[in-house]
Amino acid sequence: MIILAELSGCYYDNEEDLYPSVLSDCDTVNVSYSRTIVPIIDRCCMECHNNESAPSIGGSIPLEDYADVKESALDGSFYGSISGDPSYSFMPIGDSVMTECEIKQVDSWIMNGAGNN
Amino acid sequence: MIKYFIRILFAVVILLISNCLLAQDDLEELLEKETEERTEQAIATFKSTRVINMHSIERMQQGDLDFRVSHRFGELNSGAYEFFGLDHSGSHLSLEYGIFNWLMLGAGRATYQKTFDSFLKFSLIRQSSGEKNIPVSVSYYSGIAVNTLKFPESENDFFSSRLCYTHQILAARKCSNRLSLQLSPTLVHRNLVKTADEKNDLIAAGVGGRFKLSNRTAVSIEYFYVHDKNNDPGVTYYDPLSVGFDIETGSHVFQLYFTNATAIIEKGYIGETTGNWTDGDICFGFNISRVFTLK
Repeated sequence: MIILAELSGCYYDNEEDLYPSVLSDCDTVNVSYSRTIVPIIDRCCMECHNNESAPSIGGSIPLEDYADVKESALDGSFYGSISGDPSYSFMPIGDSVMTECEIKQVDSWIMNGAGNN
Repeated sequence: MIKYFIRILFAVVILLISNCLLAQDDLEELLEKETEERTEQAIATFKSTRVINMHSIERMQQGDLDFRVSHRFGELNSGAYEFFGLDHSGSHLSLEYGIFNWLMLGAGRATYQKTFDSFLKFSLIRQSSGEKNIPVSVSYYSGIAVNTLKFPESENDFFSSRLCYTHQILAARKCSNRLSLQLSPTLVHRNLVKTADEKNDLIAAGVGGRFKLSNRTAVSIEYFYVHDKNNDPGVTYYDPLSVGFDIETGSHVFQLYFTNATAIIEKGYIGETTGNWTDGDICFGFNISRVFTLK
């Protein structure tokens, strides 16, 4: 650990300058449940949170149907989990990675009422 | 003949007594000298190597290994459905070893941002009384934390962006058998922050104390003032405040506490506490420490 730190050193970086491409092309305005949110959930969440697996490996939190997604969205747990809020278990786990843009799109969808659009 | 014998005997007795008197003076001088040269160092200023979140000046003795488990539950105001926060939790596991009596090495892993951390803590000055009077104990803490969360898609993926460093001077005084106080000036350096306006360096001052209720139990309190913390847009950070109760059972130390900080590592609870006591964003947590003597 000490060797890694010595090799890496001390930097004064920020995400805006060092990782700009993550957010520059992100459309958080034209966000809908069917076109934006469903593909994200299918790729990142369905392995564990489908209706069949949710009770066992999905923490009893299904995300296959709109009603279940809306419930998790409105109680704060959906965004809390994907945004790294320490009050929630970080999601997704496994090989899937939700991009910063996708996290912002989910946030935008929830802020606009989490509609079935 | 008898008179002559008595005179000799009397002379011998006088000589013996005078020698004893001389020896007594030498002996008294020796005793006084020893008493003056003795210095007593303060021990057990705190029951554990942590006050609550904050490192105390205590270190593992040479050859002792401490296995620590720290658990932090969710917020009490999350309601009965979340069982007042108990349905959510983060943890930190660590092993901490005394290389020498004055030097300690630790390594651990926290669920908070999937962070691996490592630290060194060593003693600079020990509170002493007697020939040497030193009013405080001072130790130095230096830690490194590596965030191992997966990066979102980007052209850049620098390992350096994952690193944070913490440096603390830990100054404590055992005021009495019951009361100990500590002051911890702190510097946390984050290699990567969110925006250009946010500062990579955080300066903080921690204060903590412990009051023994009995030989085995104590109450503790800890507060960090974090200077110039609210420069992350859209997020309000608060100073972490923790109140706890310690129980020692021979080789275990249990620390139960309430805090507004959801993170257990320095970089998290000093720089990223978003909970507010007055809003009820209070988390219950506990530390368990088990010491094994390897030598």
